[in-house]
Amino acid sequence: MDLELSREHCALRKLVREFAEEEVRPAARRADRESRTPLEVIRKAADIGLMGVPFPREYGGLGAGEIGYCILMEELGRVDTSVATIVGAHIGIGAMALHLSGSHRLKEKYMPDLCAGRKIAAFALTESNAGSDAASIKLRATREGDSYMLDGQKMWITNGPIADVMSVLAITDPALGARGGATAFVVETAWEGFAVAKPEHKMGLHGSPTSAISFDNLRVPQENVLGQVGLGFVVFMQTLDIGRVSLGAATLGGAQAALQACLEWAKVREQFGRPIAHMQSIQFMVADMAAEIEALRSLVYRTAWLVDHDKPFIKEAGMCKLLGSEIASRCIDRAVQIHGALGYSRDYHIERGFRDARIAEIFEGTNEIQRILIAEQMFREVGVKIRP
Amino acid sequence: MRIVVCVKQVLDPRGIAVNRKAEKIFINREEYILDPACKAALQVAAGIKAALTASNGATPPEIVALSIGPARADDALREAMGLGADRAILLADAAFEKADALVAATALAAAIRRIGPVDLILLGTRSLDTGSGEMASRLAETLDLPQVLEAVSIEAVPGRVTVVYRSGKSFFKTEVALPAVVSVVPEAFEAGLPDGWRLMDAYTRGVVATWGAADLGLANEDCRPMSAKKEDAVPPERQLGTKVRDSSEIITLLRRERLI
Repeated sequence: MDLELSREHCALRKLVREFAEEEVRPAARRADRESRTPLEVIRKAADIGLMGVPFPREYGGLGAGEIGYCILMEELGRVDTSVATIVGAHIGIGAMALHLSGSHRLKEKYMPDLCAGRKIAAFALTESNAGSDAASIKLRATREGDSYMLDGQKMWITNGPIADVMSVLAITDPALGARGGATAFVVETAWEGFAVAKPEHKMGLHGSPTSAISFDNLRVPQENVLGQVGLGFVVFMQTLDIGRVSLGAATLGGAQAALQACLEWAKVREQFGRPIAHMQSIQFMVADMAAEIEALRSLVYRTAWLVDHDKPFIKEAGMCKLLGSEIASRCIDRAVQIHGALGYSRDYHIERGFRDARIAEIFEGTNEIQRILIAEQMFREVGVKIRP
Repeated sequence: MRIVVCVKQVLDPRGIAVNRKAEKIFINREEYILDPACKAALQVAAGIKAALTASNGATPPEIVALSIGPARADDALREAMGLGADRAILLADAAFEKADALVAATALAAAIRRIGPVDLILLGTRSLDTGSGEMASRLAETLDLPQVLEAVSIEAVPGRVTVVYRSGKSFFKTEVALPAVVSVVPEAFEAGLPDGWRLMDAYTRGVVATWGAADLGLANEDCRPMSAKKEDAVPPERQLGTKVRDSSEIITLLRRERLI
């Protein structure tokens, strides 16, 4: 049993950490304050190959697999959740759907630009009445000759305002509904009929743009169907399954950053005549954080290993997302407590981390949905099929 | 054209704490990095390569990264490949374990001779760790080549380089016929991050050639250092200055020193 990262993965971590410290960190505060998408940071990430980390070399990626991708997300999550979210929506779900289900021709057309970051991807599933109940989507795709006409809206689309290419799920057969009647498409946002609503005002993730989008009789050529007509729901669910692993990695980074900040602060902050590191109350919080983070790290990288070795990983992926988001929220909450008033101040980065962390319990499948998915897998192992 | 860039792996200073009171150096994290000055030298080499390739369309210059050090220096050489080196050579041998600047220069010079015709040898002005700043001069003397130290800008045309270098508080411009040895000032060049694709290639299919003393034709006496470390000395703790309470006091002080 070898639990060491390979040498190329270690080198990748070093590269991403340096990038995160030198390029991402200096821009994070302003992006948060001004709700400004740090596109120049994304461009720099693209220049050194970070926008295509897990994808094969033949399509222009770094070929570093899911483990490499988790390294990227952990290191970005350590420094700025907004940038991690932009990259995560681009690689982890937007381009991932294409990677997992696209035809060779479709991949050849889009993947090189996506891997090089010349184009940004997004993933459009959620609608106003289809959140956790993803199967009740209404966006319509009507067959017209050798094309499909898309008509309807999507909501809460991460990267919505900046994406060039989107994986979109639409209903091609209303009689069958999502299961059997939904089809996934690759849509270029430059096509006529695509429109972006104004960005949402969110509690956190101010640097990551989110918006509603609409399709007004937008024509998609048939060759842009992802996977098979009617099986789009499977394409989307498989993409989300894998995306949960790297989302766990991003929360791992956030939790680690919170712990690190606590250690540094407890070392220098003096109360009752000595650094607060010597207080047992602080030590207990730090120890709990460290233990949870270590457990999460093992889970995330083992699950990434399962993905890279073509082994079943769905249950573990749900656990990565569930535990990761809750551990990160707990850690940043303790970090606010340890930092006291400073942790509550908008002049210090802990407060940003606190606001940014909360969303991970909601997006890409709420934690309640994760619990259902995990339970489904658990009961399947004893021969019980849970009815949705 | 061929450019050799001599690179060095050093202990990451971010993992070191110096306790001046106890006169001790603590290594909190033993991690190694490619010396920033070497990154600058690699950046210069890549720049020359890009300029020459674009201007005359001829065969692009080959960049060879060369290092002397223990086996772990392999990582520094692969990072050098990520930063533009086409191939890498590590001089590693038990005989080099106690190498001082003299032995290192002897080995590097022997390696450069073995590489074949070399037009330009680039180094950082001084390394982060030992920081003697001797290597460029030692190499130039051993190889009997001209040297330019502390370059802040380098432009190459086939056959020669134009260098702006720093000397004391002044800058001079000079032209040198190749082959030559040039050391670069790291602050003058903004070294970027390695290219991810090149870095992954360096690890998955790149090869770092390892040459020992015998490969370089060095005998035992060539590897005998002339100097040895006797002890670590920590500079004394800095004396605290005067505490100034407000701006008027600062102005009074500056006036007294005739600075304003």
